[in-house]
Amino acid sequence: MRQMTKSILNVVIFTSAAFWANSLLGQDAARNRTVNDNALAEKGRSVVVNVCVACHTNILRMVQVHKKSPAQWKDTVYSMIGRGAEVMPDEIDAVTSFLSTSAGNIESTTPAASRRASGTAGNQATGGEGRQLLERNCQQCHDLATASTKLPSEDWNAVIEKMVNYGVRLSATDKQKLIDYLQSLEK
Amino acid sequence: MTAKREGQQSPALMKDNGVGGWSRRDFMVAAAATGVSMGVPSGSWQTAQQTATTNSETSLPSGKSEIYTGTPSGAVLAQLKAAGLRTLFHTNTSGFMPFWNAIYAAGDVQVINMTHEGQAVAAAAGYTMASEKLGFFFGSHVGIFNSLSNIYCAWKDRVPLLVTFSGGGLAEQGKDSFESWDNVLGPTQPFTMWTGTLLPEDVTGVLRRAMKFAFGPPSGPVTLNWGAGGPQEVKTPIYNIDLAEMRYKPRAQVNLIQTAARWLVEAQNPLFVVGSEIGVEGAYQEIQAFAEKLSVPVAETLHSLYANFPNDHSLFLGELQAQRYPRKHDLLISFGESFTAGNEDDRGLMGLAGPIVHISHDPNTLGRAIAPDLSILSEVRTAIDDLSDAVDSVLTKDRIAKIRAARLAEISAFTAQLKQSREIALRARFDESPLTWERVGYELERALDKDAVIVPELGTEYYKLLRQLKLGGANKQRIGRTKGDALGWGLAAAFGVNVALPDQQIVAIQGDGGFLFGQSETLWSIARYEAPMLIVIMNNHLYNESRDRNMLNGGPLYEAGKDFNGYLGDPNVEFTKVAEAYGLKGEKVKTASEMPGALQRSLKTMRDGKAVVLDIEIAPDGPALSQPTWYQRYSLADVRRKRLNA
Repeated sequence: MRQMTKSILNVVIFTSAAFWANSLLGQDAARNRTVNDNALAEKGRSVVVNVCVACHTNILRMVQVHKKSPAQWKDTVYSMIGRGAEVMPDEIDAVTSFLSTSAGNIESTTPAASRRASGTAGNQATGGEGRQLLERNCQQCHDLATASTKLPSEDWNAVIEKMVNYGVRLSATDKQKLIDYLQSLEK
Repeated sequence: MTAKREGQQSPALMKDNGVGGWSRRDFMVAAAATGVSMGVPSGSWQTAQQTATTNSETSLPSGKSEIYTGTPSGAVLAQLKAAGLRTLFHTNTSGFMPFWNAIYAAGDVQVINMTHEGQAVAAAAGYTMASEKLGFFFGSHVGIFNSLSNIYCAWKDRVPLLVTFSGGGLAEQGKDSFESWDNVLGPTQPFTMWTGTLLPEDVTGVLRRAMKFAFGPPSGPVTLNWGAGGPQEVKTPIYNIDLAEMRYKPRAQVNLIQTAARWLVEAQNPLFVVGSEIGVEGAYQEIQAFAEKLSVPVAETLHSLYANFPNDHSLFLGELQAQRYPRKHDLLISFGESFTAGNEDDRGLMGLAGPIVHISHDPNTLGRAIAPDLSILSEVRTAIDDLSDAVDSVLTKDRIAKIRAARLAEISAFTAQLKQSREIALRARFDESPLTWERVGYELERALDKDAVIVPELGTEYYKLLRQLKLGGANKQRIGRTKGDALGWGLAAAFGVNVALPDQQIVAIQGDGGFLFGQSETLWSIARYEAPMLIVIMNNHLYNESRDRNMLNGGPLYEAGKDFNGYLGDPNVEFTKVAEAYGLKGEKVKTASEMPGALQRSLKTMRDGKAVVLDIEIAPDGPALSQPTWYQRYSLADVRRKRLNA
């Protein structure tokens, strides 16, 4: 009887988690997507709820916490496929789209999250995007003060290139935005 | 019942400490005559009594059971040999001279010396898992604590082992004297099937019982203490023991098989789960044939010890817990799976639309971790045969063929897509450096022999590598990772597998973190005994699994990027130099393009009879969840207030 109660409780907890993940992820995602992305991301949300939750009962929390670029999320999807996640070939882009637009959007009170929030709220200027790039990529190894400081003799192009050689992944566009932002801090 | 039988020695040489005034020997004869099972083939005790000849320890028995005369240690060796053992594992100690004398006199017993008791026990376990014989270790009782980690792993894995220790004894009880404590084997008791003392006057009887306990079921380690004192010479029967028959083999009740078969034929979407008992029994062909009969898909759990089903088969789904929702399986039949992976197995069983049938040859496992709807105690192989016959009696051949064809088409389409996804994931990062786990698996699959044996001790990344290898069925076999999960098992276990299977390529796959859990000592034995193994170290300079688990849910340390216990670099251990320190070959692989050549050179070195340590630079999993190289710095050289004299 006790075992049955435990099993029933597990099922209730799981289906509740899946339901809330489904609804909350859906709400947050819709706020950030363009119309064109919606169909793909909606498909991705369905896959996340049915596939990722099989192993990650805390998928809601994980999606809240982790904000990555589309390329990084795609890497994560590939990594999970390697670990056994049953994502079909035609679902890879959908899941990536959903995670890219939905993850990391829940506000938190931590200093890092506050810095991210202050850098993005309603700010369409390059500085806002540049700051996002700085926080997301450089803060993984450096504190922000160190990451945004260089020797006078150094050139930001060369510094960022060195970081890319160390493993940072930036598109050409993002690289330029980051460099522009860092140069703007010196003015 | 007479006190002595023809051929027995004078009672003066026998201790009279049996039951009801009989000698111990007479009691056992009476018990055998009444048909009480004593774990030996019928008639062997009588045969032992009827044999008139006695032998000194320089002329050890072969063929029929005999009465042995000689030292108790010689009797131990004679009994082990009668059970088919010719390989013993040992860690250095004094106090075993009578046993060494017996081994020397025998001339046909190989002792494998190892430099750490824990590694020796793991090697004995790997030997047992690969050979289906019995691992036997002898060492000092002070080494009990070194050995405990891998005794625990063998207990978790249900591996029959005899782990024996010299020293200790009742003479020192209560004194806290040199190397002594009360209840010497007490620390091992939670992880054994039995603990006992090799009493000189009943040494082979105790040994036989120990083997019986070790095989059970449940199977597992038995620890024994070599008793001190007693007669210098004993006269004792040597029992003919067939280890293949030591494990009790139950058979299912007919009504239970009929119920399970009925549920199976009625189910629309059944699922088979295959577990370690398939591997223990060697029932690989049977389960494959049965799954193919009705095209029932097959899954395994996180903690499966062996490759119980070919992972390249179109019916193989992969991990149970990864099955996507909504789960449509309306029947789950588990063949020899213990469901001991905790939460992972619980998640795997959630959302099932139908009953669970649990089949196991271990009564302790049935219905323990899960609550099945039907429990069947049976040898898994026999249960498969019985179920298959029952299905044949219920369905016509035509009906079976139709079900098989329809289901196979649907499942094949599904597993083909999963395979395609894995291929996409592999190719997306194929040429990246540091290497991906998938790329390493891909290259190993291309290079290794078809019957190679993989012994992995890896974290949660393991599936990425192993899914690139063809395992199970006619493909390569896998032994490990231990269900005990205590690191410091894999390399020695792989060495033990090599001792059991010298004709096959043996590949130990370790994380750099796992290797640093005291495993380099095994390289000494690998070098000493020229075990031509491949030792792959997946080196991401990181305890990746614990970093993932610690950081995935965010929190202050995640926000700060400070993982206190993950980063392993500084120092960056040069594992190739560790290999060379033991006289082995080491090779470093830094880029994906280097991998094929490095593997070919390694395989050539192995063919020439030498082991190779392949240190492969591996990318950490995903973007860093922490500052990659941060650790809590502390330098004793810096904090000291007193500089040492030059």
